[in-house]
Amino acid sequence: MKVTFPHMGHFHITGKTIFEGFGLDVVVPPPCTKKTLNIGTKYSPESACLPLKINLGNYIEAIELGADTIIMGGGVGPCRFGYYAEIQREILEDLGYNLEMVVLEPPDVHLGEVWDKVKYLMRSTWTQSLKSIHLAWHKTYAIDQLEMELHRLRPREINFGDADNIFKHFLIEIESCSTKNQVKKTADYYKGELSGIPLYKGKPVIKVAIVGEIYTVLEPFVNFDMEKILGRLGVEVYRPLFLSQWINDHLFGGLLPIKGSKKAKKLASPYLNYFVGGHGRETVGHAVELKDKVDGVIQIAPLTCMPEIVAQTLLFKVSEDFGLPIMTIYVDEQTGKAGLTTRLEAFTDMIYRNKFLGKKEEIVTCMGI
Amino acid sequence: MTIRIGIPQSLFYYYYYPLWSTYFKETGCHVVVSNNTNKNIATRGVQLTVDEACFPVKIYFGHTENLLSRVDYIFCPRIVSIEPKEYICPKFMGLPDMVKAAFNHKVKWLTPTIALKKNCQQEHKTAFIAMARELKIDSKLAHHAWDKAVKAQLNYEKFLLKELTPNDALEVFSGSKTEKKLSNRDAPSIAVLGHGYNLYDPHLNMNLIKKLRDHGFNILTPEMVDKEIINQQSSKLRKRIFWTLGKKIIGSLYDFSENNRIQGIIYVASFGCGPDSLIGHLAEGYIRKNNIPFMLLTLDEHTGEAGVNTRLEAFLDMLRRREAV
Repeated sequence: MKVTFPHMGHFHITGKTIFEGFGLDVVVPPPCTKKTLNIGTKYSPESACLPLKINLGNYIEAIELGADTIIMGGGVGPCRFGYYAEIQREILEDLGYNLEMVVLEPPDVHLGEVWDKVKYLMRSTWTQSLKSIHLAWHKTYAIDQLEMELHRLRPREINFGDADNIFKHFLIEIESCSTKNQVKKTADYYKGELSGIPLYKGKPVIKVAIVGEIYTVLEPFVNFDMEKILGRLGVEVYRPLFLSQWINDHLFGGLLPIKGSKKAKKLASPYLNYFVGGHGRETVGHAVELKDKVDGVIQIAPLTCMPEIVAQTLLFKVSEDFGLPIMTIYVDEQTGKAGLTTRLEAFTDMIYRNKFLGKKEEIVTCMGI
Repeated sequence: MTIRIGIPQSLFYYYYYPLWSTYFKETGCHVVVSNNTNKNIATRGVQLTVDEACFPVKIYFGHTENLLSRVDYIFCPRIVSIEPKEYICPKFMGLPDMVKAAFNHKVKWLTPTIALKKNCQQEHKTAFIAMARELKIDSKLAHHAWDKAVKAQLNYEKFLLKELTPNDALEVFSGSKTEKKLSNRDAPSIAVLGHGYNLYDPHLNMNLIKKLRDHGFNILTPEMVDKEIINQQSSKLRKRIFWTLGKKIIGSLYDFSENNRIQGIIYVASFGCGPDSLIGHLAEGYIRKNNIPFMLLTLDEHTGEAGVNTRLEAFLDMLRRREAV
């Protein structure tokens, strides 16, 4: 049994660690590219949201590498994601692929359903499996910690790209770590490397929060590597959504003492008083939560995403009430990056002008003119 | 002074109007329904909402505005689920919040949360009785009104099962027409599938139902199929559909097709509708395998009626030719 799973940001490192620990052969799909998108778009329902299409592209590319089992998340509504796996299975069957799909989702009738699936996947001992989950958690956490540092460094580094290069090496190395100590050592080493990067001293930067639907926020291919574009524009990105936080909130029931989304959910009221599926409530809550910490907010979501449309409607009100600039960017199979860059430039220019009005020198250093 | 309650003639109006209006009337309120959807309402709706919202939701905003100056309260329920473990759509769950954010008017809002989980009837009642408390209506009167409302609703649903469209049934309900045989069972039938608020708003779908009837076809819609049959038919799917209206569409499709009740199918979808994008795909796959003529009509604020007419005529011509051969 050769298993594969869809990409979502750095999730493949987490997934590979866990499923290898389960004693399975893992085929990581090739990184998302235009080819992935083209395959996915070709076979998916036209008006389905983007993640479904990219997932499908991932599967087909992984099948070409020999995968025969797909592990996918599911759900019980109201967001479309809950029905993804079923639609994807249907499409793959129609295309003539003979493969198995294991959908991990909250139980519909009784808890045994999840249990059966986990038992089915588990080909090694219990200790081995639990150890791999533990290790995967540490890797995910370390990656997220370094990524946060990366967000801080990007707008400040003298040679743009230094931090990204180091982070890239870090990702390669952490993937092969096999113990918790190794993970820690690698993370420490690369943290040291990052702190050695030459930076502009006292450079004023603006802060922008990125909120929205988790897949489009975490997967750089679908959001055109927006964080990097913003970094180059002198923006420190503040991102409340991280994989480790999601895992803690949803899989560990928020047991670990890291920042979760509970507060955001509460803060969404009075704007949004009910859960609307997906990350709709978190999006609104995060914007309210961060209103004093950041100079602007960018919401990213797949086109036609239902929860995020609700959130977008209410973000207008948040923006009005707090004088906080908020911009929404919907992504679909359209791949023109220049349009997005122009919008981001205009958005950040506006914030610069607001923030440093009358302080000409700062604008000049800030924008790197 | 009697309290004036405004009910926007949009979205779940087509499913629950008899229940809502009877309840309010019986509790001594005056019910005001917004005007029929027209160009003005639609345009205002489009202006009041974000571009990405679907057309029916946009129209809802137009209807709400239409009511603002005429009523004391606007009734905008948060319809989370009307059957256990199912939802309508995330937009319905955030609808009251979205609508409230759009208007600065001094009107008051009635936004009971309809989230039916186990004992549907009882929970539905509780939500409405709680609302009556908000309106300072005597609880005894409210209980009495609820019983009457339920009766009216059941009566209305009976009409639907007799193959009347909700528009026809509502006319019978309001007394403007008597119950005569509005459906024409001998004519060839076409199934019109989709969410009710797309099918029964003549402005939104450019009078689709009337056009089909004028061409001499009988219309079947998901609302005309019994709930039991829908549940039984839709349970054939490998994964349970968690959108009530989506389940209705698939269940009725299976029923129509298995019993050979239809000549063709028109699926009416809203542009950008989440459930439609996946349910439509499931339906289309099934229809192709069963070799039934099929047309997908996607609606948005586009107003070019000629294009719709041409497609419709071509589709109906094709049906007739198939019959003749």
